Amino acid sequence: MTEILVTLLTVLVVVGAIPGVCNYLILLERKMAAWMQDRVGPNRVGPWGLLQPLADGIKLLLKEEVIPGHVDRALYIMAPMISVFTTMLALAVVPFGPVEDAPWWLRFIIAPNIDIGLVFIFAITSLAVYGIILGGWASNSKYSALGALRASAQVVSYEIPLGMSVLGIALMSGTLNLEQIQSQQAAAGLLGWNIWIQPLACLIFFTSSLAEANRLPFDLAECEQELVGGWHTEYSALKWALFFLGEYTHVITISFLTSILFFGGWHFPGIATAESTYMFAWLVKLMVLMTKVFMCIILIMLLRWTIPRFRFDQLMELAWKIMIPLSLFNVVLVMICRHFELSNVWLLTGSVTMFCVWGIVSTNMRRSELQAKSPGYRMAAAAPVAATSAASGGHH
Amino acid sequence: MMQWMTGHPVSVFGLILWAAGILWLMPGTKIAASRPRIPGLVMSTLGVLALCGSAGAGQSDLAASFLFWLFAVGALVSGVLMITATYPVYSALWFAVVTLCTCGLFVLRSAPFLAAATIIVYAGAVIVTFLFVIMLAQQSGAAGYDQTSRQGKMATISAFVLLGAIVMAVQTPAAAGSPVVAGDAVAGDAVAAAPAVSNPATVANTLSLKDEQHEVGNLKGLGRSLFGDYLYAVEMAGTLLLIACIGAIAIAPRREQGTL
Amino acid sequence: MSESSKQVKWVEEPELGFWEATFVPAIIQGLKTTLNHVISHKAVTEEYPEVKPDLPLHYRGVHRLNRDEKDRVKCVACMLCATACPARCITIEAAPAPKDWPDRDKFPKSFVLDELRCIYCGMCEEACPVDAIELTHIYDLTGENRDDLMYDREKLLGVYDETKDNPRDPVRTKRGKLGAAADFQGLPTLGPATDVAGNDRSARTGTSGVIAGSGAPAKENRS
Repeated sequence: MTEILVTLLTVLVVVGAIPGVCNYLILLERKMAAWMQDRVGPNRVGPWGLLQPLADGIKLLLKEEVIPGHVDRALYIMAPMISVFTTMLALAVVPFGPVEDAPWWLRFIIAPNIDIGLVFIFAITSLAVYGIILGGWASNSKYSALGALRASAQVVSYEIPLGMSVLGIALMSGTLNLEQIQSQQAAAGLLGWNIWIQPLACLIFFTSSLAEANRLPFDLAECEQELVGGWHTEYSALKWALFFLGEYTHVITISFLTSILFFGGWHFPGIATAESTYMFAWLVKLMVLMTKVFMCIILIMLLRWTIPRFRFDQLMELAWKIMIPLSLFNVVLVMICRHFELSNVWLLTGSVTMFCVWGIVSTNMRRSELQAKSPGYRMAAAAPVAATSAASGGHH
Repeated sequence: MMQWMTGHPVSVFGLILWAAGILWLMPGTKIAASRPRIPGLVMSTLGVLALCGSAGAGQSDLAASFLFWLFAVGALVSGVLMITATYPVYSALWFAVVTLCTCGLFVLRSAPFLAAATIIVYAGAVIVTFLFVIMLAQQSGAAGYDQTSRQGKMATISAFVLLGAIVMAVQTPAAAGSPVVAGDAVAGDAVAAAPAVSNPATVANTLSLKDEQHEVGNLKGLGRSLFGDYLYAVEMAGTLLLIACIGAIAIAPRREQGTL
Repeated sequence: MSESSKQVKWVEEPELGFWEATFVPAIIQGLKTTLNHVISHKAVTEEYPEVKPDLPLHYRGVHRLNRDEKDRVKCVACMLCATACPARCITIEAAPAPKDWPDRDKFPKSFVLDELRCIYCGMCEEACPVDAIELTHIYDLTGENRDDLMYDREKLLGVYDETKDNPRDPVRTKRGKLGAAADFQGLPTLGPATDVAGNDRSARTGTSGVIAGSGAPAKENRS
């Protein structure tokens, strides 16, 4: 009985907290955007604009829900629900606190001891694309359809490096259970954090989860300059808000995953270690984890205004030509190190070496590509006389 | 066979009724589009109920049995809707629901990894690709050549002959020893409705039946069995897929650099 | 017509080195820039309702009808503004001037300016021979319905009363009692309205007055 009540309480806490947190993340994102662009940001509703999310929420609730006449009604209504449902469901196996030291009334994870934690998350988030693709298709509009097609191609492509990068972690720790991965890192101390062992996997994981969540610089699916709003062009009011709730929940999930998988979860040397048993240790650990997650979210927001949006072919190239081979080699490297029981230093060196090798390879590839296609390049490379004749030959 | 037919008239009746219902629902001809769907649905439902009643699946745990019936009926209904939907997009979506329901059944049979992997591969990638292609190519229903090449009646009849064979195999006394098999029969029905997922399903079944000494449902057990007992099969399947992949690339039309 | 191909300068796509190809240094550099903006944040925007913008002197806002020294409306109902208006937002109804107004023949019985149609181009101000209509700095005009923004003579005179003492809205021309047209002697030479470089083509065209220049092609006025 207590079990069910605790589960219910945990579910309530998560489901209740997520929309509120998302609202304030949106406020934070708007503020950050404003600061980076030398503006002030929302500052009218409440002190420092702190009530702005409330105002936005009320506005979106009370707005007229326009359902265009040309849509496929059932799927149109279902799409935002799928979007929110799947992203929320993925949080079920994410431990959002120190599970071992949890107080008896709160468990810090909705579904504990799931063997396949990571795979479950990938399975559920791979379903999130249905929200986008159905929203785009059901809207029966060209912008929406194009956005949905882009999103689905992108998500299906980036799922591969995402899964492969985590495979290395799973091989290292011998489990797919997030709680165990976290406690193993905590037991190993600061240098046992996976970021020191597999920096490349971390980079690939973070990048491809940005692409999975359709965040900038990979938000081709909703790029305003070309597609108005992408797949949510025809949506308004609460349905539109649900799509955004889904997107921000996804951001929270990937921030949690990055912190837990690569940055030691709630572990921080000196403050929160596996040995710390003082009274409110769970609170401190919770705060440490939340701080890490928050830093990750901040980084995502900073990246949004730092890197310009990719072109679609660049996006696909990044996935198929760079990240998939790299993550594949990374898995092979981890396998080799595990089999021959090499120390973690080798993994670190291997990661860095692979990164550098790939940099050199792609530099050379780019150079030869340039030489192949640009007439001006040939002109500059050839002798001066040849250059004039080539120039007078006319270009188009 | 005659012995089975006379011994289990309810099963035979259910099968025939169900097949008739599906045939009624099956689109493909112009007349079918204007046909009311209710009689077909009623026939199929009654047929399924008769078949289930004769199979007599019994679960002790209330929650588990509720979930089992939920997923099983969900898989069957969405399977029927998948093959009878007029729009290809809806077919693909019902296919996704079939996959999800089957995965629910996998979880109930304590094979969570199989369920998650099936969701990732089928629901997350394959069906999304289907949808992708359908949305790009067939906005207004199936094309003419697709309609003519679609043999709805023949497909239904052969599928139900197969289903009948399975039911017969289950209900003949030799195999009806364990209560596990009775549950499998309905899972098998769901699989018959969605042929593409039948492969992992059979793997699960053979696992649960054969390797009792392995930790079934555990990731380790699955891995050991896949890359130990069935290593060659797995590798051959992988190679086959790779060959198909290379073939697809070879067949695909080449285009000028820079055009899409 | 076309430039010779020798003049075409081909710009190469810059070659990417190792560090550029790995993206990472560029991203770190970019993050540094954005983070600097967040940490040492200095807004360049104005808090509008509290801080009013410092508009340039030539800003064109709501119109006003100027009064002369006897507080009468300066306008002589010559219809030049209504004619010049590209948006056709001015409607003037002229009437013979009262007997005790010896300096003019007509005056506007009604003068209605549709502020919703107006495009605030300032042509009316340019056209007015007696400096009666001018554009002020008022930019935040609102109304609850369309009729609120049909400015009639009294309203426009009210705008004058409101703005005449504002240092940013001076009565711009004070030539004689009735402005430029009243003490008209000869045609003044009109130069270009803005500062232009000496070698600019428009700097060489000194037109000799509005009346002489109007109708005649600009070429003939070139000195």
